[in-house]
Amino acid sequence: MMEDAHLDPGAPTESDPTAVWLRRAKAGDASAFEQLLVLHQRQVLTTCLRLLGDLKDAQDAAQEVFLRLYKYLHRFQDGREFPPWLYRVTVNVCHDAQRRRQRSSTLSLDDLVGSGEMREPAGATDLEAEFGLAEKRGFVAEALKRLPEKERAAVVLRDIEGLSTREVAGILGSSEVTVRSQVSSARMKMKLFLERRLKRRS
Amino acid sequence: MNCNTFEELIALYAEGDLDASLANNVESHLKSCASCQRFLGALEASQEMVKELAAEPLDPASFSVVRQRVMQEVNRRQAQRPLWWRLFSPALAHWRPVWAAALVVLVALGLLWQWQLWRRPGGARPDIPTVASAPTVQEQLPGTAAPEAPESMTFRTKQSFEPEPKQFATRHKAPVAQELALPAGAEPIAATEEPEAPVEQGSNLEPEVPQPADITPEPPPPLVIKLITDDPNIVIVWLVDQDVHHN
Repeated sequence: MMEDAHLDPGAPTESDPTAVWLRRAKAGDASAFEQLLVLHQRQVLTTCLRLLGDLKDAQDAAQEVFLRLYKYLHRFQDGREFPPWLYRVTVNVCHDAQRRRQRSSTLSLDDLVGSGEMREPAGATDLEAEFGLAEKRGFVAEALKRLPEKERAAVVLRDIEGLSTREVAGILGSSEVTVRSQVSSARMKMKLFLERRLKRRS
Repeated sequence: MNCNTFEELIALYAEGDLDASLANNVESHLKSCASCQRFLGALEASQEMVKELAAEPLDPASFSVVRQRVMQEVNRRQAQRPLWWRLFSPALAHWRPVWAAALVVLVALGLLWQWQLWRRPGGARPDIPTVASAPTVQEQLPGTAAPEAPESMTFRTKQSFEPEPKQFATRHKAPVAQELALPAGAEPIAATEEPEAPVEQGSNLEPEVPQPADITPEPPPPLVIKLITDDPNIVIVWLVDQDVHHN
């Protein structure tokens, strides 16, 4: 993914598959657009899945991302980096989906932290040894769903997609300081949530 | 700074998101604070879990579902585009030489066809009609004695004195010669027409419809109208095909 995120912003070259398919797709070549889709479907679908927390919703959102991409591809300027632009479209689509979705009234991590319920002393718990991998992934996914929208987007792009703070700031349209604050807050909330979940489970 | 403030920095320090000076401050604090050391250990453990989620592989069928739905919609939108856009779209760029060759062949065939028409005697050459051809027709008509039009008279001069065809057809339904309204200075000489067979009076109110066997194959002779102008050398001859006129 990081290779995609650091594409040469210069003129498209034949060695850059994204630039080649992008140029042909902008000219209206549907097969080139499909190649572009194949190259970036993992990026889009996994980001949608982390941001929305549900595979079906993520597939719907990914479909919307690529259809928006097809519709507005002519607006993409040559020389710009494509993956950050695609991330930006993805985040916007997921924000729209979250606003439309009637979320069940779940207790947010902000509520848990604010009430002091999660202010437990940090212990050197061996989290990995206690539970299975799938269950732990489920806990992380649940923790992500409970994060505030902006913090979730920041931590997904930074910690799961592996983008740099500067890239995340560019995608989210905010400053690096803001992104660091959001990421720090999200990490602490997730740590507290996971500790609480694992202790309750045990 | 208290430990709460350091925890916020430790959350960034754990993933290398702090610059060197802040990282040094955190490291100095960690050396002397056991609580923050535990916090760092727990945070690193939770971050490991987060990264395991990132490494979770997705079912390839999940991607193909999205791809199929997207491409179905893309192809539908492509099909709605106009034909000219599809023909000349870059997706069909490899067909452009074929379009160009077809265009060249069409143009060449068109030019060849025009050249054949030009070479054919009596073909579709756009000859300009002149009055000079009128006397030739006049010679075949019986009972006409008007002087022949000069060779230099052009069809355009004739047209300038020609009444509207619709009005003429109304005026000359009777099978006799009639005078025409002429411009000032023009004097009608004669308007002759081959007399038709007189209609029998009192036989029937309704005209007798001729049977197909009674119809003569010979077309009726044309109506001839001759006009002269102030210039005695200019004579206008107008021929009207009566068969077309009556039909």
